[in-house]
Amino acid sequence: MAETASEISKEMKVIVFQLMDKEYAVGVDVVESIEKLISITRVPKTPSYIKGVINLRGVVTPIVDLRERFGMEVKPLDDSSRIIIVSLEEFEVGLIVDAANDVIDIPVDSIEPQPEVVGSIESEFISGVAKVSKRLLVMLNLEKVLQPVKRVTTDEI
Amino acid sequence: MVFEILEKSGEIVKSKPSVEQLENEDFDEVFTVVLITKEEASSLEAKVMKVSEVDRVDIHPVTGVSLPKGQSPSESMDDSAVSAAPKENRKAEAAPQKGRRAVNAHNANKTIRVNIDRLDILMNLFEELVIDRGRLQSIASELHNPDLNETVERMTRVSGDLQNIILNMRMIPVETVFNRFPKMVRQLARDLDKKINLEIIGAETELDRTVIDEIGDPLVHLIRNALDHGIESPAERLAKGKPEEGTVTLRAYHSGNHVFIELEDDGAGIDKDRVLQKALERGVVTEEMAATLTDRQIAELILSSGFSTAEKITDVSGRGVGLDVVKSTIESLGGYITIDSKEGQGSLFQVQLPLTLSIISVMLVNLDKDIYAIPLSSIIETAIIQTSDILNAHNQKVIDFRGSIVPLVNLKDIFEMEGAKEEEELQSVVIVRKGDRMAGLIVDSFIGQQEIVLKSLGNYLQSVFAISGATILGNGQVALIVDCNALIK
Repeated sequence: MAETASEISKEMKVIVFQLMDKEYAVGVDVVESIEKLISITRVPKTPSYIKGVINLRGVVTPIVDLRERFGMEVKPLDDSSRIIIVSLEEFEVGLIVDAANDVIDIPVDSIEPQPEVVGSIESEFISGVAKVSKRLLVMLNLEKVLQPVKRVTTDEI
Repeated sequence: MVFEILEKSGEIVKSKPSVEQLENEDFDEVFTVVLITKEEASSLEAKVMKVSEVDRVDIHPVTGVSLPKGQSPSESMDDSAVSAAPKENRKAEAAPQKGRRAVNAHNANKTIRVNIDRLDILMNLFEELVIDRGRLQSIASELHNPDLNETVERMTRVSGDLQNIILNMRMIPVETVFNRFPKMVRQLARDLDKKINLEIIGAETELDRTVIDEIGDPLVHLIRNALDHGIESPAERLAKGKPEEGTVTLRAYHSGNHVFIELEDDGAGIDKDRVLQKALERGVVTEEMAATLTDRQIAELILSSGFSTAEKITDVSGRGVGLDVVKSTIESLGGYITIDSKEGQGSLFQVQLPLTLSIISVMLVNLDKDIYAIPLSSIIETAIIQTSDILNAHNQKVIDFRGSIVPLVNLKDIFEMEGAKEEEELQSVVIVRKGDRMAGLIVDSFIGQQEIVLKSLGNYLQSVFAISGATILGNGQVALIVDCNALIK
């Protein structure tokens, strides 16, 4: 989605958030809102990165812990933790991030394809890397990060 | 508007597109209506032309004699209707310039159209309000201010009423669909020379609007099928020692999170050998498969596409399209269709439909720190049992519940929660059933009974094990709804 937006405008607005010591970005057009932590209801028998569901103004919204999704070490939630609600074509999902830092405009041509080695994160989740002044922003490929969770157990009736 | 006028002057027999489509503004610039009336063509035309949106009216008188036979099944239906009613029959063709407005105006006096999404938003926002109401209530009870208390109490009452209205707004009785069936059955019976009595039970059963819209056509198919293939001719029936008049029962009722619509006839039933033979001929099943099929599975073969056991093709049915469409429509709605048939005694077509949105009664229970909801419809009763009463039968914990052995399921184990409290002396158990099988669900404690609004977990979490949905509680918390059907094997 980030790519399509970038073709139209020379600059794109992104929301910058933090996970561990790295900064990540998603296009502002997919972000519905940023919420403070509210109580999450655990959903049993789902992958561990799915923290559960919340009541987002009357809509039951699943919550994904991005740290766990990327296999990073788990950190207890604190006051700076935020839930970024992103809206993809078929569903809305909340992403737990360490902190939501910024909304900035980045020039489209500053986004480069990801370098070969990006560290621990599986590279399929990343659509590119943007260098803005001295900051390095990892652009997320949300479609990949948020592939729908199918039935996780097979012991059906 | 046009319909209103026409209905005043006579009986509308048929319209093309259908009345529903017209009401949904689902037509181009022209629609056709067949009307039985005593009025003159010119006066009728003048009346219809008074509707400002109508551009042109063409009236063609049709009589029972002049109508060409066998044009299409529906045409010939009109034919018989006309000959039965010796009145002048006219076909009015109106071409509204702005058809949309014409139809809107027609309904304006009674109903308005609201996009269902807007209702959803309204309800979601209202729920937020209810949560704040709860907060206000607790503040008021702390402050002990009589004025505040009174206001909050009033607000509680008003918002309770409001909640009911909003929740029921999307539901309409299946009556709206069932209403047109008696007439259809009468006409069909006449066409087929059969005597048929249609019984409708549970027309007041409420269904979500979205489901109502879709269910009409499949039901028409099923009824036509029952009339044509199911019910025998009066002579045949008498020969079999059945009453001359065949009975078709259309039944709708709620059960659990589903609505059942059943169509039962006391006709010939399904000839299993012939179905099987046809299925083999068409390659729907192989010989080996055929040997293992149960009676019910054989009966359900008639739902597969391109299948027809009717020896001759009639106008009504037997073209081999229809039942498979019925099946796919119902499945696309998330429902199922099952057939029970006893040869010589009749068939029962059961359509099970989910409630896309429905208010259900649940029992709220505690599991660890979370609250879960168990649909009341699957609960037989709740019990508190002594741990010493739990027996072991082949690695399966069971209890003796009113004389029957009921297997126990520890929900905490199923949901992989920690701290299953084995040690406690008393255990809270919810006895649930699926069909005639039962199971006891061990929970931490009961909270109580409540009416809740079913919500889906969304497209991201597709089919979580043993969870059929979620709901939002009065305090804004999400509670998951336990799918008892998945827990009972």
